[in-house]
Amino acid sequence: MMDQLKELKPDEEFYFQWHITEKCNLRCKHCYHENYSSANELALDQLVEVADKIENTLKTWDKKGTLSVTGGEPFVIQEKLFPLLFHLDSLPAIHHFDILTNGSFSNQPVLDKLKELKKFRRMQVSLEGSSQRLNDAVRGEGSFEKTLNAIRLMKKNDFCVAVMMTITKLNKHDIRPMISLLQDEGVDTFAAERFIPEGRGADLEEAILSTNELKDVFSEIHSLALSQKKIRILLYRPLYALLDGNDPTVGAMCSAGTNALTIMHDGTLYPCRRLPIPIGNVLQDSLYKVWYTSDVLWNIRNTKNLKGKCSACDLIPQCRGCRAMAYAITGDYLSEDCQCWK
Amino acid sequence: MLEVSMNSVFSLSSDIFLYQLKELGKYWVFNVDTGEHYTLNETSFWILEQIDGMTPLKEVLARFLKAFDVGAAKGKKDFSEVVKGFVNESIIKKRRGKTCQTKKGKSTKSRY
Repeated sequence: MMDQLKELKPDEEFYFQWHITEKCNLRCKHCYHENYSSANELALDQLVEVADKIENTLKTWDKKGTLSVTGGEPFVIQEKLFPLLFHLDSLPAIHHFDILTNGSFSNQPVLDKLKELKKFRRMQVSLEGSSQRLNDAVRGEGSFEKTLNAIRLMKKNDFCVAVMMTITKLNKHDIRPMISLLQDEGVDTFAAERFIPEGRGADLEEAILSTNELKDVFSEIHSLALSQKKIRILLYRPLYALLDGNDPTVGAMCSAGTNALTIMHDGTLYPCRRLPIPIGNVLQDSLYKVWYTSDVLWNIRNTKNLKGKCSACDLIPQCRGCRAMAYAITGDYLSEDCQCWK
Repeated sequence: MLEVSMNSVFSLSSDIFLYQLKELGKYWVFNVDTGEHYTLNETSFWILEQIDGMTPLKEVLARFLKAFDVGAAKGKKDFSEVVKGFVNESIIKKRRGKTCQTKKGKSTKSRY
């Protein structure tokens, strides 16, 4: 499935993370959502309207679109999800899309339906550790087993599977066992995301890694990425560039304001899901207007605005720090990335 | 290319949005309706900023010659070319009934 979709260069691509619902069957402790009512959730015809708007915008910009369709838990609203996915599949400017799910609803009929989609690249699920104890402490009792079963079913059906792990003090020592488990399960891709205390996760602030802890974790992941061949370990995140600024596959500039937007369940647009500052609404505003006129986006693009250690950093062209982390900790998205160890 | 009277008064077209990151030497004009965008140099951006729907082009030209170190003849020629370019791309439009009678920088059109 994955092999049919060639990789895009960053300057060819525009990425949308699309949270089509806030509804979810889980209540993970570190979740960036704080409300699961999904008030004002878009109806199917509105979702299709948004998809068409994305298509037209991509055509004008001569970009290929990549999307992550997620929630909440997107399979909670299958009656809207599948028609939307089939519509996205028909749009020429869409290169591929992924589904970010907790795996609870990944049964055989669902996977059979997904197989009909030509541009569906991979399923991403989350695990918080290599053991039931570590995972279920955050994601809820029984979720480890359910997620593993989902991964096995997906692999049995020849799906490309990615696993995301959110790194906190609770699981920072579990990177190596986790990657070992995922390799044994045939998982294709692994990515680790820093924990940012917002939404429900605001109550877990004490679980944020210190700068030295993050350096150790990122160093370990980087080292494993170089040595492991069976699983692809993604390093496309700010701060990885500190480990090897000469390797273009290590680290990536935060995509906020550069080539990405997040669409929420009600059409609200954010620069990034982890930077929840509304910059427009995709139903009311043209994407052009939001992209061209948002002060928040312009403030981020102007690297001269960055503060603290980010302001004078020689890695600005490759990194720029995580604006969402800065915002969550200080309330100022232009302040320095407090987890940077440089 | 159509001729532009220096007595004419122009304004920015309704869907046009200007933005500069002066510290980084970057200047743009955006059409928020069609999505087109143009990368400008400092001089042509400066000219667009002067197009305010009230000031005749000849007065903008006079300010331009004062603001930039350029001879009158070359300055006028360059100014006219830039303004014509903006008119042709519908970035600026002539205000109806506003004629009083009045250039450097090239706009390079690029899609995002």
